[in-house]
Amino acid sequence: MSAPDATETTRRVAAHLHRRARWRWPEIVFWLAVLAVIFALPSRDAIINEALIAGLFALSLDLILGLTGIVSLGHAAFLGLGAYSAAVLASNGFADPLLGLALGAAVAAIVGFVTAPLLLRGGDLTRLMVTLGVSLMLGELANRNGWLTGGADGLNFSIAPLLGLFPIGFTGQRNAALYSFAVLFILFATARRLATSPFGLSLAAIRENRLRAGALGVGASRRIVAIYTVAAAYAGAAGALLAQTTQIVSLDLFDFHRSADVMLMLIIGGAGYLYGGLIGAAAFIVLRDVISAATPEYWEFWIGLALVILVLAGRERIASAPRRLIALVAPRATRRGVA
Amino acid sequence: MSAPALEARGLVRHFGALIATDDVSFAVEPGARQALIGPNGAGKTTLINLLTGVLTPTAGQVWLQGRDVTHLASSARVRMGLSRTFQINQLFPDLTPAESLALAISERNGSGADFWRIVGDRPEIVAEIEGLLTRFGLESDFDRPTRDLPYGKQRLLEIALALATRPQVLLLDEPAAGVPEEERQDILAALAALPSDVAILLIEHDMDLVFNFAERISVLVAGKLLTEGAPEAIAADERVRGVYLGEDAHG
Amino acid sequence: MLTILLDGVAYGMLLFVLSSGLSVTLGLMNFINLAHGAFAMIGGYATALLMNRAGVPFLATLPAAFVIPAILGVVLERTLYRRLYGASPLDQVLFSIGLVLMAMPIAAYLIGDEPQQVHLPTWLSGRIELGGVGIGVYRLFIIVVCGAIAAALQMFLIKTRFGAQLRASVDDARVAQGLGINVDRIFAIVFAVGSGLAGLGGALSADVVGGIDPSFPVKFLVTFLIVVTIGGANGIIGALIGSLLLGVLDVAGKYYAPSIGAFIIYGVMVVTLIVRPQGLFARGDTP
Repeated sequence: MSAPDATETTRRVAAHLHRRARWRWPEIVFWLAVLAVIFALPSRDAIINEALIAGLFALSLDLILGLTGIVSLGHAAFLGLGAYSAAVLASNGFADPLLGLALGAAVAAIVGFVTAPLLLRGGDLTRLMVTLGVSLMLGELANRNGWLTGGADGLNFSIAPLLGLFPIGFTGQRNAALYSFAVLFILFATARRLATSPFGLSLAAIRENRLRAGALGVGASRRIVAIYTVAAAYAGAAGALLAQTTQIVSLDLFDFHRSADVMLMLIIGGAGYLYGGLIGAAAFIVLRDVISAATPEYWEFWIGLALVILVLAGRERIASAPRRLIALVAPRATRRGVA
Repeated sequence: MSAPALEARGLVRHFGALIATDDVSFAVEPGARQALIGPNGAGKTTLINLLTGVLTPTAGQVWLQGRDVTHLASSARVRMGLSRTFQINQLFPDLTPAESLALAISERNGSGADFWRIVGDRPEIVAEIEGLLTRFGLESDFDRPTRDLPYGKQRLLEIALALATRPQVLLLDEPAAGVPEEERQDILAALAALPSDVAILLIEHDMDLVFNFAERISVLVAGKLLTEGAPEAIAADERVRGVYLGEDAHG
Repeated sequence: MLTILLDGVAYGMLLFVLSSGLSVTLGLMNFINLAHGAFAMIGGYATALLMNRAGVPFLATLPAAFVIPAILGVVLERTLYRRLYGASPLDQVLFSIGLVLMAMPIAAYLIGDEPQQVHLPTWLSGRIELGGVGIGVYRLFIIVVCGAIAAALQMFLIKTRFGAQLRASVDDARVAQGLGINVDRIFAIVFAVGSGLAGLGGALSADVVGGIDPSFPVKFLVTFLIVVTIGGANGIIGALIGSLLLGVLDVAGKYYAPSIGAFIIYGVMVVTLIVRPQGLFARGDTP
């Protein structure tokens, strides 16, 4: 038996490493389908917008939890920071949505950068407590500083039309959905590129075996701070979108249950391959809509039950169901290695 | 006169009341083929952990390529040319061998933090991956997740990964441990084919492997260095036999 | 000011009884049980409902406030919790959050949304003077009762054989099992007692917090976590100190600096975690 030719092997290795970088047709179909839904169901654009924003929020969690293996119970902090930054900016006369979006992402990123070092020491339990603590502190700060945040009453603000042309407040719901779609798509494509880069590969290595990653020269601390900052920025952008397209901000954005919700979305869809958050968010929002129509007060109960069953049945097995379905169509799209 | 590639100077490590490493001093010369042997519990893995920076010493120093690295982090020592393998495989279960090697090589040549390029974009990295895969007999398994590989291949990948960092000093912690008889030959062959300019410190219980490989042997007993010397001298040393009395050939 | 200190001590004692079960579960079984507050709620409801609907005197309801959650705790532990002892912290957190999210609507459905009040008997109402310092009678009652419980727990842990077995299991469950200690049974008993204490704490705290309503578990979830964080999961003394510290800080904070309020508490928790991330959860943390 002759050994494989060296050039042949080299070609195959290169193809293998590249396999995730190329956009494959199911992905393109996915995005076109989402766009189609926005146009096809104009009466549902409000809830579609909500699902897109939730998807962005879940994507941001996927970057730290799914890709890098960092657990967080306080990711809602960045959602709240982004939303309030955009709202405060708008209520002070700077109503341009892109400006608010940038500010929301920036503020969240700064707080993420500053609090990231807290995640580096200790293990998972410490991280859960620290992230929870930070988000509670921020929520409390927002509560106490009503002069800035409007406290329990929230803020009144209006949003200028996007690019001067397209109104996106709650009177322009289809524009809002398109705006959220555009932001989501651009940020997703960037995240996708990041995940298939050497940096993204090193994050996966940190997740898989931090000890060995260090033994190969990976400076885990700096990488973790970097991705946490990026994830915070993404969540801040989601918050800004939420504030701008609904023209509402409230203190419950910092609530613990927001962090729990987004984690559930990510788990439903599957963590680690970037589409899981989007799928899970859509499923979550739709299910909530359907179930709340039937039994509005007890939505919480069903979430709780879902969580309990998910955990008992094994997160991996259930979360892999959507991926296994997708794998039937596009086998190599769903490997949870690098992207 | 060149400095030793790797040096331990008076290393001490306590775990509470337990003295795991007791004033150990020895040197590994450039290009060395050196083995560290000793009975179970002698503290060999602790010593490796001290040398690589996974553990900080209670006292003493570690010198790498003529520089004091005692307070340097593990990843920094790797970048200075010190690499190791682990007694129990420390691999990336979900990544493929090709991806794992790509990671090691990217980190080494400074593109590890690059967030815009695509992995596999650079032909020289791919060529290097192919070289390592072929050298370690992994060329037909490179695209399967590491967790799906048989144990012997995982062990080979363990060594290949360490080598991908192009170390000047390589510490091998029981590379043949747990490898089935049929696959041991591959490990032996891989060890024999390691570059001659790399200083290698081998920890092993398998005496065949040790005497086949080593030009110099250090013996560690109860955290202290008992003796060092050429293989024939060690084999004939009464004290070494005494330490191993009652243990079978595999230590 | 001494009054405030005593109030803080009383609150701290209450927190101790409420969260001691959580500390021990965390320390013994490495299990993060965020549903702990649900057991407190059940105990509180037991007392409130027995008093308001069945006319049972306050003191007589307290055993029920202990026993009912304890039994529920054992049942849940045997059926559900034990499957997750080896699971990742994230899984445990998600699981226990799920339980809480289920418990609250159930309570709302069965009992209703309005807070159920516990009306203290007259002999526990009012204030008295102790050496020139004024203190509510009920506060004093709490300090005495909870102090007694703390002392009893500590005695039990140190002096009895079961206590020794418990400590051995905490140190190393596998070795303890190898020595013939029935670790399973110990886990079950500890969980039951922890849940029972939570229930008792819930009942005792009803008057202090303005009644029991379905959101009780979530309102106090954070407080419990902070107590466990600050006090550590390494035994009664640590939990007691953590609770007292938190109690005093909370009461004093609300009195002297109400605009900062809870911020101090959260801040202390974060600072504690920064300073001692390993030491705090030395048993349960996997880096």
